[in-house]
Order: sequence, then structure tokens, then C-alpha cells
Amino acid sequence: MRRYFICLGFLAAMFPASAWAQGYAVGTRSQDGKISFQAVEDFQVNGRGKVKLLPEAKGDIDPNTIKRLQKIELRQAGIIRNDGTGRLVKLNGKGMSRDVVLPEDFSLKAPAKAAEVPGRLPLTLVHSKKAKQSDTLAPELFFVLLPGASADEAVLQFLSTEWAFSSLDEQLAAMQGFVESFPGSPSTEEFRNLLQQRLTTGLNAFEDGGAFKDLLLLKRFDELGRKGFPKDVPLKTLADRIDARIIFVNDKLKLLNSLALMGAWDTFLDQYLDFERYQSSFPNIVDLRHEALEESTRVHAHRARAWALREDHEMASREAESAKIRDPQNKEIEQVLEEEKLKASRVAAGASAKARASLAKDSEQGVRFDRALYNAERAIQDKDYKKAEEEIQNAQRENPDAPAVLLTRAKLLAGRGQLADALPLLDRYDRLVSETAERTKGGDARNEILYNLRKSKEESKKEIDALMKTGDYSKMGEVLKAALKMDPNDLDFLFEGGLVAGVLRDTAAAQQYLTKYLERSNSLEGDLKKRDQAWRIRDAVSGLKARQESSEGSKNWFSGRKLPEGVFYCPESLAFQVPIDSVSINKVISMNFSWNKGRLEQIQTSFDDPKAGRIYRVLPTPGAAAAEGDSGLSSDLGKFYFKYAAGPGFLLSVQTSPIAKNAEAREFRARVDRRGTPIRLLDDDNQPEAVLSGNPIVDIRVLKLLEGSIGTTIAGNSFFNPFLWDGVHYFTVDYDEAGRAESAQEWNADNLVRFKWEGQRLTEIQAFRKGTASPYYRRTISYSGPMIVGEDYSVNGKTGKIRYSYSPAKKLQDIKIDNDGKEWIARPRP
Amino acid sequence: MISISVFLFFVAQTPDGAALYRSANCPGAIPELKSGLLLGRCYFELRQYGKAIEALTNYRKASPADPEAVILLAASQERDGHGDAGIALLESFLKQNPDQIGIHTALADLYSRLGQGPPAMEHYHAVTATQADDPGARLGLGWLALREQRPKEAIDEFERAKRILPNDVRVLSGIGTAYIRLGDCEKASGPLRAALDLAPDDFNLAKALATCYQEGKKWNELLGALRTGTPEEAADESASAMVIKAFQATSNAAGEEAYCRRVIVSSPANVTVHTDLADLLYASKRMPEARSEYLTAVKLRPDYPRVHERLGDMAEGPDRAKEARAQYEAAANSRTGTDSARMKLAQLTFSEGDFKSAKSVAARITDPTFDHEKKFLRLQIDVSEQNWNEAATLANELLAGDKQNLTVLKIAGKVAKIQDRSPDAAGFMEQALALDPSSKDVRYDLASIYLNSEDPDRFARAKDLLNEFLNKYEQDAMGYLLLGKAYKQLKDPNNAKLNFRLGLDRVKPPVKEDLSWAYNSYALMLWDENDFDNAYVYLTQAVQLNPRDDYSIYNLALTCLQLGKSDELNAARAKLVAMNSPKLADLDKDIEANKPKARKKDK
Repeated sequence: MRRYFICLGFLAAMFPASAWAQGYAVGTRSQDGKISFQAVEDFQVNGRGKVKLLPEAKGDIDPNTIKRLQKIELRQAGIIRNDGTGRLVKLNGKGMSRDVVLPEDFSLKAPAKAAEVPGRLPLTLVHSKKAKQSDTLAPELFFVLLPGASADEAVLQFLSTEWAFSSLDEQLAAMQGFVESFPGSPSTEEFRNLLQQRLTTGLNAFEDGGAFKDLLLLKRFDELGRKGFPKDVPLKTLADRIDARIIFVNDKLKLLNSLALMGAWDTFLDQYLDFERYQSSFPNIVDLRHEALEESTRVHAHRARAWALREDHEMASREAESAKIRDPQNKEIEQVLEEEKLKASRVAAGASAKARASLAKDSEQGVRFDRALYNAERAIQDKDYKKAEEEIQNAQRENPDAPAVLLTRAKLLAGRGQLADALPLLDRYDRLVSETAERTKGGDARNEILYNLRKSKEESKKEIDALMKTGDYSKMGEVLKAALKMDPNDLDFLFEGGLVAGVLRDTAAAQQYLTKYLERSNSLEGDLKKRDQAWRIRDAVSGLKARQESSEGSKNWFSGRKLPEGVFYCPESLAFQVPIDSVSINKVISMNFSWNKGRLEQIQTSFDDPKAGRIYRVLPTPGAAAAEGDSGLSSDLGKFYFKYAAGPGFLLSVQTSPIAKNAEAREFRARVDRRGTPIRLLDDDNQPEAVLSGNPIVDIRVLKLLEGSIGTTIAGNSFFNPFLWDGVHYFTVDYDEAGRAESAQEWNADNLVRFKWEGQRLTEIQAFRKGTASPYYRRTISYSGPMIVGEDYSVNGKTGKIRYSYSPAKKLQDIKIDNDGKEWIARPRP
Repeated sequence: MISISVFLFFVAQTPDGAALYRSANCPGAIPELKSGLLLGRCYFELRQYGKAIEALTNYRKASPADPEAVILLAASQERDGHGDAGIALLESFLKQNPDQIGIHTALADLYSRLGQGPPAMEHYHAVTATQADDPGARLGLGWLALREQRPKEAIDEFERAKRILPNDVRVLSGIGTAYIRLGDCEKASGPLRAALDLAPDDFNLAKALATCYQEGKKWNELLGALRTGTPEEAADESASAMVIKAFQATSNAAGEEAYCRRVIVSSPANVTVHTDLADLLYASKRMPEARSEYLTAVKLRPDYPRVHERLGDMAEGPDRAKEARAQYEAAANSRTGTDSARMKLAQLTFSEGDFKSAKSVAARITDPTFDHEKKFLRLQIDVSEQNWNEAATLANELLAGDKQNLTVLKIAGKVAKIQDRSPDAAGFMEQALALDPSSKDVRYDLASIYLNSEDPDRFARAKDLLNEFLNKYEQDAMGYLLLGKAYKQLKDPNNAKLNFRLGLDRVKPPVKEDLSWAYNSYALMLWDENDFDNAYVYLTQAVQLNPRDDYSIYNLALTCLQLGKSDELNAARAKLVAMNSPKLADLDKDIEANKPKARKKDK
């Protein structure tokens, strides 16, 4: 159950116990088990605000032990709950022993049984000390006491303390009670958001291969959502999806078992396809699938033999082929297939030979035909495939029906490396020729092609394996294209080709290869893990939507994406949309931005005196500058050079050393470097590459499924302040469904940045330390109409702001950045 | 539970055995499959139910909770004739594993097959109560409805199952069978064909579909449905007959022959294909092969009148008649024997002179279509037995029904002639000649009748008939001789002599006895010209040809008397004495008178 509360868990960090002092939240439980909460000003045990805490024990309690106990303020005790027998116990943490709460004046005259200490205690709820309003509470109805200034926050925190509950039912009842007790409170809204997040995450986890029992557990929460927030459409939608998924799985299990028992194996396999992604929770069904594959093999093999008995060799070979797909290594089936194909081809050849016209050898046409084929064969030997194609066409013109044309064309395909494509031509050839000599020619060509195919495939597979290890998707894309040309049915090529095509945004090819892979690998030899991966990649590829790009507006210099008016931060790169000319502070430090054709080429920072360096170094970078950044004082301090990809024109990388003037723009390379953390893409200079959600070459959503998060952006500081460049900061970015940056984890720094958007507009940036739920940096961005007007931020208790000034013509004139008491002025390009 | 069974399966099988099993080669797999579920399945498939029970029982010792094994074991017990044991097994399993919904379906299926509808329905409903669209239960309910003669409901159930099982042979064949029950072959054939594509060796399915196609005369489709190549089809003669009929309807004799030969290899006792193959061979005049196949057919089916009759037709060799008679007798004496065979037997026995048998067999012919032949046979018998009156009556009856019957006309003419009803005889012959002007026999018989009459007009008609024949058809000896006689009767000795001469020159040895009259007539013409020496030569030949002809002997005697050949005269007289001929008295008078001119006597 723990995993369901990971998100809720951060509440504990938001509201540390020491911070609560002003009141209590008291939970009570009715006799029918319903839990409710209320805020009280004070809580008294036996009419007192102080208590003693007796470590829970068995056996007898000595009166002296009681005497020795210290008195403490009840509000310092933390969580106190009913132990189920009407006693109050203080909870000390997960797995830790509890303390029995005794009134401060409690004493024993003689040893007493531990279970009977302290006995029934009068409890008082003080609603208002001033108005002297109070109620007594029967200890049997008491559930929990939570100290805190805000009762709803205290309960919200408590709800995430899984170990404080005796069972999930109790915890869910407490949650339900919380929602009903504090309707409309911010904490309830927060709880609702957490619940939605939980349901979404849980459902996604199940879709991603999570355990079915976790989904069933999730259903308890979806029921809570339905009860607690009955009019909440998003929650209802989520709950419906969870219910639908559970129903789907349960129905499917029944159906699959039924189909297995009735021996409907092919239907079983068909029905299994959309269940396959959930199979990991059902090993028995996985076993049944294996049996289904075996039995399906047998069914098709049996059918093949039955058609053979009917002397329908076409149908027999078709069924044998189906059996072979199910059981590719079965030698007996292979033999049946070969025999039936041969017989079918002989029958077909016998029929076609009668109908086919042939040229007289000594006729003009015959001579021309023979010569063309001879030339074609020689051209193939000389690897002059164009010439060979011409000659084959010449021959075909003379005698379009001649089987020899097919044979030569097969040889041409083989010569061009399309070895597997040549085989169907040889099959057609075999179906046309009946004379032994002609059939032998076909057989010889087939043997040679099969040998070369096996050899070439082995070589290609070695190369692909090596490239896969180095993560070079760009190169793999090229090799796999050739490999698939050689054998478009090879399972390894299809699988890897599909993955790589998906990564390289060749969506159609990815779908085609993976679909074919899934069809052909639905066999006894099929690798379940690979199939699972293929399903997920294909689904991801199929679900991808083209980037919604504005038809108007101007291109962002970083992402190359066109942004509409009124959008100032690029949703992909977080780069500022308005080109900045300079940023300076009191003429001491000046950062000058150089542009060329809309691209930022470099930033040069100048310092007027040595103090300026110190100011520069304490720029708002509470998170450490990335390793790639340069925070030392040196001649190239504050100098940044921007490198762009050839062609599409998006930013490739930023470096602190100059780029050679005549250096050619680099091609974007999809080469994953898995050696370090985080993983990244490297260019040909082994520099990390920026790769955004809209990267036209690499699809980072697909790549994420294979390698993990790899979206990479670059900023001049840790908080995406677009004006102050203190170094080169790399971030691994995750994007939402709309392709907007959702979070960015800075490399080599304890700095996780989260973003909030309204449409395409950035509205808030928060930065978090690891394991904390409250941001240490927060920046809100304000807009007025199409204009950005200001940004306010706080970092570790200090505040700052950015103000945008416009001319009467509403043209941005300057930007004032108030940072740590110092004012920077940024000026846009005129 | 299933995973354990799968694990055990892997442990129990050698890789080769499992691979062979998957390749649907159970005979090859069984020796490799030491034990386990697959072994049970293989035995079940091979219909060795006892062994299947043994294998599955052993398997269940290790995997008692495997539902597939228990279902298969119950089915094996059912097929082995112990359906009740199968039910008990499933009931017991269900008690121990009440959550196994699928067992309800298996149990219901078994109850249904055993004709116990109510418990079957109860178990199906136990499934549909929790899984309304469970395909197994819906399928079972469909078959149950079919067994209980509720085909429309069956279709509804099958259609529900089809939503999940669109390509299941049991569902498709169920739908097809239901439509057949409704008498709608048109609707049945689609699903049945689809089912057959999924189970091409399901002979029962193939036959049901073929029956539909036969009804609609869809012969090519029928040929595609049957010809499963299975031993079941090879042994099923009605299926063979359907295929043969389809081949014949599509005029594909080569295919028909190939099919027959293939079936014979698989099922040598299939009489239908032996017979059809024999018929094909007979039709293509490959008689020895045809005969061999027919003989195989009658060996396999001794009471096979049609084939016996055919074998009778085909009889040859020295014992042809004997064999033919034996075969016809077998055909005629069969309970299902045909009048055709009886007719042939009657004709054969008649031809052998066994008129009694011929009449007896003919009497058993009841088919009115044979009335004419039967009457004709009687006519022939009566003629042969010289029952002229009966023959004349039958001939008249036959001619009343068929005036153009040449044969009967000839016989009628002959009978009338024998009965000295020359005008009638001439009338029949004239009719016969009109039907067949080239008939030499009719023409000569007719000419003879006319020449034996007293009417000169008829002599002229005879002369014309003979001249016409000799000019148009054939210049044979008899024609000239008769023409010579006609001229003689017409008192035209020159033409008479000329034609006699032409006729006698064309006579080729051995000369037939019935030509003695010609030698006699010609000799008498020579006598009249006092050419006794030549007359003596021809008369001697006439007597040699027909030693019983007292006229020729008498004339020879007179010629000898004329030539002074006493010994020969005495020899001739002695012959007449021996014959007790009335001519003896005439000769004696001539000798007494010692007149050199003996009176000649023409025939």
C-alpha cells in the first residue's frame, strides 16, 4: 500500500509537527464506524492539558513506574489515537512502540495489569476557552487527536501517515471523514488533487505493466473519490476508467479461461492481444497462452495435413505457413511446408506451362530475349544494377510471360541486397516452370540467396548489437533500414527497426515494423519482454500527436518553434521569446547578446572592476551551477557560445569556448550516452545536445520508454531566469501531454524545477530540493492582455521581481530585474 | 494450477515428442511422449480411447486439478462407451473445484450428447448466469437446441457464440446444420463451407455440405466439398456416388477415374467406385481392365445384377456363351434383377436352341417396355419350333404395332410362304424390300415366290426385281440364276441361258446344296436342245449337290437312258427306289417304252 501514499507523504514535510501549536483536530468514530473530524481549541484528559506517557507494556505496571513518568503538554505529544480498546496511545512512528496516555495526575496504589491502565478516562473537547464552551467525549468514540494550528491541514497530514492506521479500511474511512468534515477547505482541495494524481499515476502504472492487485486497491480510492467528490467530473472520469479497466481484465480472464477449456486456441490468441500488456499479473494465463500457441500450431499443422490429403497443396502450404509462424523452429512443420510448397508449385507450373507462350529460339524475338537476359546476368555480376534493370525490362518486352525474367529479377534483387525480397520471385518462378533443368536453376539461385541471406543477417545483427550498446540511434536507423530491405520479415530487424524508427520519428515505419513484429512474434519463440516493449512503443507512437504549432507568430530562437503573440517563454525550451540585446547592472557588469538571423550566437559579459566578478558569481543561483558551467574568475567568464543544428535550425548546445568561425553546422545526432547520470544525447564532438519535445529528429517520448527521460534543455541559471547567465545549466526535462515542460531536473545539482502553464503561457516556476514538497524557489509570472508585465519570486526567504516596461505603442522597452537588492536592466533588441 | 500442469508437461515430454505433437503427427509423437496430457490428446485424436483414458488417468495423478485433463478424460470415457463415468468424473471435479465455471460447460456438453437435456440446460445456465456471453455455453446451448429439434433457437445461440468465435468450426457447422434442419440448404451451405475450410478432413461435415450442393446441382462445389481423402469418405459408398455423379455432371471423366482409383487404394472394398471405374473403362473400350473391375465388383457384391448383366455382355473367348449365360442367369435370378438381363438371357438361350429356357425366362419378364422384344422372341421360338400358326399370329401382332419392322416382315413373309400363302408372303416381302432395297435375301425370297407362282406378271416382277438388284447392288451368282429362271418362265430361252451361264460361272466352290435346282434347270434347257452330254454334266452336279432331289435323279436317269449309260441309269433308278420316289413309276414306264426320248421333268 505504501506506493499509493508516496504523493500524500510529502504533506508531512510541508507541515512539521513542531510548527503546530495553536489547537487540535479531533477525530471521532461513530458506532457504525464512520469517522469525522472537528477543530477544537483545547483537548483535556481527565480535565487536564498535561499527560504522562507510559510505554506500552505487558504484564503488570508498578506504581513507581507511574510516579517516575514526566508530565508533558498534550499538544507536544504528537499523534494520539484510540488503541481500539478505548485507551489513548501516542504513536511514535512506523514500527515503533507506542505510549499509553495517562492523565497527569494518574497514579497507582498497587501494581495493576497493563491492559487496565489507566482505565476509562474522561475526555473534554474545549471549543472555546473564552466562551467556556466544551463537550465531553466518550473514550469509545474517540479516534484521534492531532495538534495543529489548522485542523484540516493536520488531518490531511495524518491521512498520509499510513502506519498510524490499523487497516486500509480505517484509513479510507478517515479520508472520507476528512472530506466530509472540511468541505471546501484548501486542504480538501489539496487532498482531491492528490487523489486525482494518485488515481492517474496508479492507472498509468497499471497500463505500464503494474500489478492487477494494485489496480484493485486503487479502486478503493476511486470509490473514495466518488463518495467524497460526487460531482467532480475529472475524478469520475478517472474512476470510470479504472472501473472499466478492472471489468475488462476480469471479463477477459473469464473469457480466456473459457476459450482455453473449449479449445478455441486461435480465438484465445486473438482475444489475448489486447490483454497481453496486463499479463504480468497472471502467470497462469501466460502459461495458457503458451499452451494456446502450441495448440494453435497443432491446429494449423493438422489443417495443412488435411488439405494435403485433399491434394490442395496451396491451402496446405498456407496452413503449414501459419503453423510455422506459431512454431518457427519446428523441423517437422518446416518439412511439411517445404513439401507442400513444392507440390503446389509443381501443380501450378503444370497448369501455367500449358498456357504460356514461348519464343522460338531462332526467332528474332527469341534472340533478342536471350541476349537481354544474358546482358542482365552479366550486369548483375558487374554490379551494374541499373543496366541489369534495363536489360530485364528489354527481355520482359520481348516475352512478358517468360519465367526466366523472374529468375533474373530475383538475382538482381539479391545483388541489390534485397535478399528476402528475391525469394517470393523465386517462388513465382517455381510456379511457372516444370522442366527439371528450369527448376534446378531456380533451386540453385534459391540456395545461394538463402546462404547469403543467413550470412548477411548474422553480420547485420552483430553490427546492430554493437550500435545498440553504444546507443547510436542515428547510425542504427541507417543499418536497420538496410537490414529490413534485406529481410523485411526478420523478427530482430522488425523489433529493433520499429524501436529505432519510433525514436527517429518515422512513425509510419515504426507502426508498420512493430505491427508486423507483433504479428510474427506471436509464437512459441516470441520474447514476451520484447513483445511487451513493442506494444508500448507502438501504442506510444500511435498516440503521438503532431506538435500544435501556431501558424502565426515568430520562431523561438532555441526550439525553432513558432510561438503565438503573448507567449514569452517557449513551452519546450523555456527560452525567452523576446530577443535580448543586453543585460547590465550599474554599468559594472554588462552582458551583451549577439544575434544573427534570429539566432542568439553568443553572450559576452564584461566586468568593470574586480568586484563585479563577485557580484556576478552570486547571481541568483542558490542551486549550484552545473558542472558544465564556469563559475570561476577567468578571461572567458560570462562568455557563452551557441551552436545550432544544421537544417532545422534549433539550438544544439551552448559552450563557453568560442566556436570556430567557419565551423559547419552539425547534424543532430541521436546517440545516447548511458555512461553518466543522467543519460544524455551527445553530438559528434561528444557535447551534450539539447533535445526538446518537438525535436524534429528524435521523439523523446519514445526514447524515454527505451532509455528513460532524456529531454534536455539549457538555461543560463537554475531557475530559467532568461536574463541572467551565470553558467551553462543543463536540465533533463519531462513534458506533459501537450508537449509543455512539466519539470526539469538540473544536472549535477539538487534542483528540480516544476512549471505551471495556462495554455501556452508559463505562469509559475517552482524549484524543489530532493525529497521536499515545498519549493525553495517560486516565481510567478503575470500577464496583461498580450503583454508580460511582471514576475515575482522568492528564494530561501528572499524575494525579487522582474518588471517589464512598454512604450505607449506597447513595445517592450526594458526589463528591470530586482535581484537580491541589486537592479539589473535588460534591454530587448531594438 | 494450470501452470503446474504446463510445468509437468514440459518435464514429461522430450522435445522431439512435443514438436511432433505440435506438427500434428500423433503417430510419430506417441513413442516419444512417455506420458502426460499430450499423450492423452494423441490417443484421443487417434480414437484409441482406452489408451487415452490410461494416459490421462496417469497424468491426473500428478495434476489432479487440471481442468483440461479432466474434460478430456471424461470425453474419452464417453467415446469409450462410458458416458456415465464421464459425468460422474466431471460432477466430482466440479464439487472439488466449484469456481471452475468451464467444467459446467463441459458437463453440460456431455449431458447434452448423452441426450439428457434438463441437466445439460441447468449447467449451461450456471455458466450464463455469471457470463452471459460465454461462448462455450452458447455453443453448447445451440447444439442442445438442435438435438431437441429447435433449429431456430439453435441458430440464435450459435450466432451469439459467433460474436466471439467467428471462425470456429463448431459454431459454423452448428449454424449450417440448423439451416439444413430448416430445409434451407441455400443458407446452410455458406457456414458449412466456412466450417469445412477450418476442418478440411471432417468427412461428416463435407458430406452434409455435399448433400446440400447435390440438391442444388452445384456440382463443382460438391467436388470441392467432398474428396476429403479421408478413409471415412473412401469407405462411404454414398459419398463416392455423389462425387461420381458430380464428375459425370461436369463431364470430367479423367477426374472421375482418378478419384475412383484413389478411393480404391484407400478402400478396396468400395463397390461403387469399382463399378464406376469399370463403367468408365468399358465406355473407353478398355475391356480387360473394365472386366477386371466388374469382376471385383461382383466378387465384393455377389448379388449385383447390373454388373452381372454387363459381364454377360462382355463375355468372350471359347466359353463366351457359357460365361455369358452364367452372368445373365446371375443377373436374372437376382432379387433385384432386371428384365433387361432376363431378356438377354432369353435371347441367349434361344440362340443356343434352348427354347424351353428361353420361354421360361421370357415368361418372367414383366416390364412392359420389353413386350415387343418378348413377342419377337416368341415369334422366333415359334418359327424355330415350326409353330407356324402361332408364328403367323405373333408376326401379325408385331406388325400391327410396328408395320415397318423389317425383321418381322421377313419372318412373316417366310411363315406365309411356308404356309403356302404366297400372296401374303409376297406382300410382306414387298414391304420388307421397300424398307431395305439392298436386302438380297428379301429380294431373292420375293423373286422365288413370284417365280414359283403361275402368274406371268409375277415372273416379270421377279425379272425386274432381279435386274434391278444386279444392276444396282451386286452381281452375284444367285441373282443371275434366279434371273435365268425368270427368263425361262417368261419363255425367253436366250436370256435364260445367258443368265444361267453367268450365274453358274459365278458360283464359287463349295457349291451350296440349294443351288441344285439351277443346275437342273439349266440341264433341262440343254436337253431341250438335245445337248444330252452337257445336260448329263449339269444333272450329275445337281444330283451331287442334292442327292435327295428325286427330280434331278429322274432327269439324270432319263439322260443316261438317252445316252445309253445303263449302269448309271440303274444307279439312278436304285436311288429313286431307295427314296420311294413317285418318279420311279414314271422312269420305269419310260424304260419299258424303251423310248429313246425320255420325258424330262423340271422341278
